[in-house]
Amino acid sequence: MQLIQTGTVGAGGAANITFTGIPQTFTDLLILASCRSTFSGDVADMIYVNFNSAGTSNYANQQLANSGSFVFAFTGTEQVIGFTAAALSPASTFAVSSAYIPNYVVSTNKAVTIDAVSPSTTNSFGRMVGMRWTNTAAISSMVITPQAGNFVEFSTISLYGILRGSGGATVS
Amino acid sequence: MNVLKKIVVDCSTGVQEEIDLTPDEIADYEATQAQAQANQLAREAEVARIEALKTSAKAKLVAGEALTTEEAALLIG
Repeated sequence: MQLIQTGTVGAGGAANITFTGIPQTFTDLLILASCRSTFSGDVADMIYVNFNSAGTSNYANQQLANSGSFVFAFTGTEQVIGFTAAALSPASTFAVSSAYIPNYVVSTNKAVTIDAVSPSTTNSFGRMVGMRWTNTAAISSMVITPQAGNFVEFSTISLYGILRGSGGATVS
Repeated sequence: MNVLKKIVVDCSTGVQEEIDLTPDEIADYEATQAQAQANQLAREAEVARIEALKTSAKAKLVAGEALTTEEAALLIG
């Protein structure tokens, strides 16, 4: 696994973090996010992706979620890529998310697996998501946006490339 | 934040820039967020509806009263 780049939000906050010029030399992508948003309506919120600036349609997701001891599942058409802590979560607390995108340069529709958790003093939010982007284009860029509000300072999103090798070795 | 900005990371050069959103990007951003919030409100309403049904179903079960088909499905799938 190799770090491609990390986007870090500065003191002014940011509406989104955009990665351009994603190298096409890896097999899979991994997105690791540590985020907090200004959304004042909840302790946590989804973050969205727009692959290749191709728009927000042709996405589908299945989510398994918990809020405290309450577990629920639902489907949707949002382009979910992770989870952010929001303004009602404990101060200076960030949600963590990982999103794995296998075969991101192959001419097939793209599937993404996402795990996320946002800690809270009373209820921690957890999500397991399967997301599909019905588009066979290789992923060369992505715009990552909180569902509501803006990312706050110290939010980071790191993009990693994974190159499959025999026996799990990294092939350089 | 008076001016909406985005963080743009060019993976080919490693350069990270803070760039103001264009008017079109701001319009898209605001429209997306409005729709997203409407979606979340709808989802929260559905969760609340299901919780209320479960509570009703449990109470009926304990009291020996008839459940609706939807209530029964929530309890036992």
